[in-house]
Amino acid sequence: MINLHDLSLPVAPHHHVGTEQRVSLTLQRGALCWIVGSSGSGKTALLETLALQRPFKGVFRLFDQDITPRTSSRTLTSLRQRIGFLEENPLFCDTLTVCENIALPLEINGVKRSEYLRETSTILSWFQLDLYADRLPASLPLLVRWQLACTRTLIRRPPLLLIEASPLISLPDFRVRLFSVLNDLAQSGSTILLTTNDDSICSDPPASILHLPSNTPSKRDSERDTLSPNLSAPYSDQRREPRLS
Amino acid sequence: MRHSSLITRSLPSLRYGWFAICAALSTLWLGLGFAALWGGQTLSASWEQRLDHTTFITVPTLDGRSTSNEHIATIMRAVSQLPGSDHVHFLSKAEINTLLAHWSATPWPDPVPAIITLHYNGDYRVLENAVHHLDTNTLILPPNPQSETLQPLLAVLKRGSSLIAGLCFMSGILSNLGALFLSLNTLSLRQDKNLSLLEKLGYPLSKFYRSRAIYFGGAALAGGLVGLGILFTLLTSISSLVRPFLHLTTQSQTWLTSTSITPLHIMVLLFLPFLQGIISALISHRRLLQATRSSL
Repeated sequence: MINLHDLSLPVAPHHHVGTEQRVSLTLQRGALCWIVGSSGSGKTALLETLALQRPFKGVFRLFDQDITPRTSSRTLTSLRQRIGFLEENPLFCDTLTVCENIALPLEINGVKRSEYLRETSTILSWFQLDLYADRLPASLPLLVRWQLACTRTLIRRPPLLLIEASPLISLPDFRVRLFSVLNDLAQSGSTILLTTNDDSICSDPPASILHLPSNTPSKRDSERDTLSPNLSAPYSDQRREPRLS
Repeated sequence: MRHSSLITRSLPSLRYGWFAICAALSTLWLGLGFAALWGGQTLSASWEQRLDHTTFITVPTLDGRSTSNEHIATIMRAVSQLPGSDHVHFLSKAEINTLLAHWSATPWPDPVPAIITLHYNGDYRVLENAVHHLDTNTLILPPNPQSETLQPLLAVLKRGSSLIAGLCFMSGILSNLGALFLSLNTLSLRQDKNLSLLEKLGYPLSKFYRSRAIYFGGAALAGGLVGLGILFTLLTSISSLVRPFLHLTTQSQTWLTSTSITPLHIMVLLFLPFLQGIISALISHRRLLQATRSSL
């Protein structure tokens, strides 16, 4: 499903000697995985790379397809349609209502208007966000926008879900509903990768937890990166399927 | 159709109107430039052809008898040997009668005087001395002084038409640069937040860029055709105003048929809007696609 090898990730200087470190990651179909790390540890860069939204160095295979800088824009577009990526500060089209914004992925996929309106209404009701349906996104608080973007990401039931989930700390009710949906999606074969800087929220779903380094590395770490970059930073694999080296 | 509706709802509209205006102005200015160049040249050439440089030497009859051919030949030989004389010609009786008909309302009684024509650029006192030395009764009629005054006017006309053509070409090029700037300005779409969102959601941007390029090409074509229409109308109006100067005799004669404009020139004018459309579409499409490819 996802095979990253020797990926060069930019990180904040206080996390690592130099401005990048090497990462390898393997995720199978149906995996549900948390990546925990403090701010600047490279979580967002990793998700953006997986979402095909930033250039990268290394070997990257996604949906059994090699991704290189020469991969055609048509292929990238079709792959992006299979990825749901939720950022911490999600973008909205300010000229469209919340309902139209959430329906965008279905509209892009060619779903009929009546059908995507019904789907949108259902998912908004499930997450108890239907009162915002006719509002413009710009008028809403950031946390509400994040929840709405979350529904937009889920509405297409993508095979790969990438979620920056730090806002969930402040949304306990929404978290319960979201984890219920994520478990269903994982059981139906979707691969789900969530990132957070607080591992207290990772306990609810039965998921693997991978830790990114959170303190300044020793001299030995930096020597190891330089001499043997493929061995990379000291991530820990605590559970089953995913491997992050 | 579905996607274009989505784009219409979510993206700011591009400046197709301004682009079409630039294309129209470009066609108009370039067309006026060509017209000024060709018109100026044609007008000056037409006037130059009509200028009369001929000097007449009239040998009157004596006692109702025609002048002898030997005497005429002597005068012609003497005149031909003068520096600055050219095209010395003895008019036939029919030519003389036609000429005299312009000078006199009543038919000239026979015998008609002998007339020699020539182009002379030398000193007229020398010509007079040479002719009067052989026959004191000869009359020398120099060319109309208008031809002398018209020469500087024609020079000014040529320079002026070149200058106007240059200014028109410059304006046309500036309008083209404006259109080019507007088409390149579509690259700013790459920074558009909504387009960025659609790209993240998997919207096929290459289709969108292709449709934008077609819109730009269409706008250039439409603008160019409007410019061409205005140009033709303007030139027809101008040619009707300057009809007397162009010596257009009938109403059916227009600037298209009377001047030295060839079918090739017309083809160039007609081709301009198409050329603009194609170039604009290609530039817009290529630049946007390059921007898309560099996104990963």
